[in-house]
Amino acid sequence: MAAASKKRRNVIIAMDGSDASLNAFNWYRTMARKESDRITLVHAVEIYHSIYTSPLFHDIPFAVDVNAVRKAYADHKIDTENKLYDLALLMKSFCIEGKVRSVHADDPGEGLVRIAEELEADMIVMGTRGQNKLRRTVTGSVSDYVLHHATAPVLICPPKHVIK
Amino acid sequence: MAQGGRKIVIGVDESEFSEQAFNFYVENFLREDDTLFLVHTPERYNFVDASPAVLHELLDEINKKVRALENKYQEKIKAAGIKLGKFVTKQGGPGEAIVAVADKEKANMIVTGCRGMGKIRRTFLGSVSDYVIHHAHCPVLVCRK
Repeated sequence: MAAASKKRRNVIIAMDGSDASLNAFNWYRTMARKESDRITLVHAVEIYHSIYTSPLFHDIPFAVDVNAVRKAYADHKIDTENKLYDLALLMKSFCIEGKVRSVHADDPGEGLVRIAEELEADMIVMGTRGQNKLRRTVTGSVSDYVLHHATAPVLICPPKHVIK
Repeated sequence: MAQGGRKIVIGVDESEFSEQAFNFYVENFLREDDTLFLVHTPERYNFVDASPAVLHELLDEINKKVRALENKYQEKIKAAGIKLGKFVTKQGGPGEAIVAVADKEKANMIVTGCRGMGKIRRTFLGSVSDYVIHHAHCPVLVCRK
């Protein structure tokens, strides 16, 4: 086998809490992972969806209660932190060393592409379907976006795939 | 964790993109017990109006190209130290062929470049990789750069 120290890969795994993303994570873990990989589990947050579709804004779109907004943001921050903590526990349960990051964007795909560039990812791992309420296409719109805009190789795991 | 040999399908053509995909696989995914299937669909010419002589010439040309590509990739396979590599030629569309081979061999993963031989650069993602992603039953790795 090739000798010489190979460069450590920066691998990003998109996790939105869906089964598809968990599937992708497990596939990577069992089939593609290298010990030297630097893994970052990324949770992409849709800014609009998480804050502005909350009940807070339904009735009074323009008049704003400052305290209520502060609370909404604070709650959202805690919520995101909890999700990241869950991701950290997931890695720990498999004795995998890695980081967790959240990224905010109008579109989760945009966020993923941005963080992939920031972390200089050598590979992006993701599932095809996620949490999106609208099933617009056969493959999810987020994975579609990432496939078309990412500058790094993308590993797409379909939901029908069963890990043996 | 001991894994039984994985089966990897890689779509190849004469473009540099499929070379990149192959190289990426070798540098990042290669395991000693991998079995590699390189799927190639030769370009089809419309033979309807051809005279026998022209037909013969065209077929020869196609065969030559396919042999050359096969040799090129056999060398790459040997150089990478891959023990089980198979070059598969199929008729029809490249996307369909890749998915068909992956399904038949129950491949663990498909590797494809993001583009290929297409003359018109409409999108960032070629039509073959697009097709494969939408129809594959196993994970697909789309390589770029």
